[in-house]
Amino acid sequence: MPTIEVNSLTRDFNGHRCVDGISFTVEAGEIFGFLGPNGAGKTTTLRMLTGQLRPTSGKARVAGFDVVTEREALKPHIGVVFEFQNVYERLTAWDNLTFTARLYGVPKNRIEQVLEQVGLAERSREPVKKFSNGMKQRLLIARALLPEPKVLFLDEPTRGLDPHMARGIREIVSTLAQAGTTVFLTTHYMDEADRLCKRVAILDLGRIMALDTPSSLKAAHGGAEITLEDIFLKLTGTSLYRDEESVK
Amino acid sequence: MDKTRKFSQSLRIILAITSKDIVDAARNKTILSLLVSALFLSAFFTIMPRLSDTGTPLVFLADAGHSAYTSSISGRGTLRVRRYASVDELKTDFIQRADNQLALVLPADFDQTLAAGGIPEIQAYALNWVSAKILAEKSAEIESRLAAIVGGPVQINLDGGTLYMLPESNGGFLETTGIIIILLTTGMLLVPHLMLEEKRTHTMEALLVSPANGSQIAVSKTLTGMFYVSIFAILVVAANAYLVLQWGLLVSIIVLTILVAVSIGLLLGILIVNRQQLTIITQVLLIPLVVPVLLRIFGDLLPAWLTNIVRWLPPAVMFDLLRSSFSNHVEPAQVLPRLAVLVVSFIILFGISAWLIQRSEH
Repeated sequence: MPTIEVNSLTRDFNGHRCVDGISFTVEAGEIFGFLGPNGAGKTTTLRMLTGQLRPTSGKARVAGFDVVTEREALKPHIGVVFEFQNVYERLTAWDNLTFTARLYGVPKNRIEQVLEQVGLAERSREPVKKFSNGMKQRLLIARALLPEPKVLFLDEPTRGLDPHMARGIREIVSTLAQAGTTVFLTTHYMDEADRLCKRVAILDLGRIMALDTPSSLKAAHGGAEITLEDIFLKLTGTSLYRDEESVK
Repeated sequence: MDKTRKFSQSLRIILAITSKDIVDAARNKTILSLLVSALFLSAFFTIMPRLSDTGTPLVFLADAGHSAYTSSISGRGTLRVRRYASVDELKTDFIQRADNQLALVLPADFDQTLAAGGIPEIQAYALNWVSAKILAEKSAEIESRLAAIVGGPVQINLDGGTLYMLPESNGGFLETTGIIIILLTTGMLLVPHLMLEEKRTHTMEALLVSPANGSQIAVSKTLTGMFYVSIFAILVVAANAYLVLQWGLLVSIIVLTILVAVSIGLLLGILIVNRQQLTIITQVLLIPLVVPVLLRIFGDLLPAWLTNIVRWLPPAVMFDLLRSSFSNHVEPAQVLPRLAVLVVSFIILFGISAWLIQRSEH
């Protein structure tokens, strides 16, 4: 049974269709890449799948729960790393995680486990405002992992990080998937999606333009010489053209 | 999930957010500056009534024997005097107007005693909240000024001279206004700041994907607001404790005032999206919150129909109730409807907030 099931999911904002009847499934333990240019509908889809936003139409189930009717029951089974570093900067990493642990009713020894898992154990008593972006990103992942979620949603987790930090984050994500956590990843980095994801969906103007394994997509679009970035640009080029037109 | 488990989970979430907010707010410069401002405001309203008590002493004077000295006492500028034809008139007006002054009743044999070389004993009255130390100082000063006027020593007797304020008296105006303004402004500014902080840092999104729901977040912010406003309430009440005779009533009013203030803040926190909006709206909102208090004092200047409306507005109700707690005589028929106004105000404000939160969740 798939961990994520999406059927004809649609979301309109002020008469504008942001997500247009998308359907896909994600299996347990899979890293699923959700790619698309700015405004393609990635974050809107992620917000619907995490229960933050009600779909205009369509259905979605995550970890066996309907994202609309079973939203409260779904919450303890998902972890979300947002596109912005939304931690309490005046508190220490430990205090941030203690707070999250109390929200979820998670025992305190779990805090030590996740801090070890993301490599922040030694800096956990420092205020988060002293952390680098990479460390804050690790803390966000630690927070998302605290309740041992079945599904981890990552919204551009390596954006703005230096190559060392980005690699560290990718290693954590790989390890999690190997341990059975399903990962739903949105990213702008095609190379990252190519290396990490079992399958990717390329989204443009709210519609899925392609959905397959990176290798199958490459084979279908011209073979070994083609990169995932080439396919992405080919499939989403019209939206870039339309953006230019709208600016004019 | 059974109800008990759901309740304990909800309580755990509310306490987690509240304790986090209390710790985080204590490190937040914006919130700290807000609290320091409230502290200064509190000090101002505590010190101000004492600063106004300088210069020539004011005495309320009744002359039982039509003394020849009365015009000298009134006219020399050594004392400021309000004169009354009878003791009853003196007491009525003194209770209505006095703060920490003395009311004096010259005895019928005042002139004769002085002429015989004796020391006339002047019966004095003071309001219950004036401390023994201040009374002793004031008595000594007035005795000495009177002695200079009449050419011989006089003795002021305060035994049995304690009078109690009525709910409609003017005494304690600055203190009462100060308590209300401090509680209302702190409550209605602190809670929206807590909400705006979560919105600005996007931690609200993280909270909303956690097991916490909008209602639990709102209750937590209310509790954090109540925690900090209660500290201020304790400080301002402690500074003005000498005025209070009805402690039960006072505690009820303070709790209800805090609830109303915090629920105004909660509503603002839900509706407002940035600090600029908050600054503008709170400045506008302060007018309907402060003006009814002022109008209670200057009610004589207003038409009767307007006075009748103003007296039932929540800030005016808080004002009247607080002053009732300074009186030794409280009529339940006066107090209970006013307490009900505050309870209903809180229920309406909190109900609107809860409805807005529920609507946004769906």
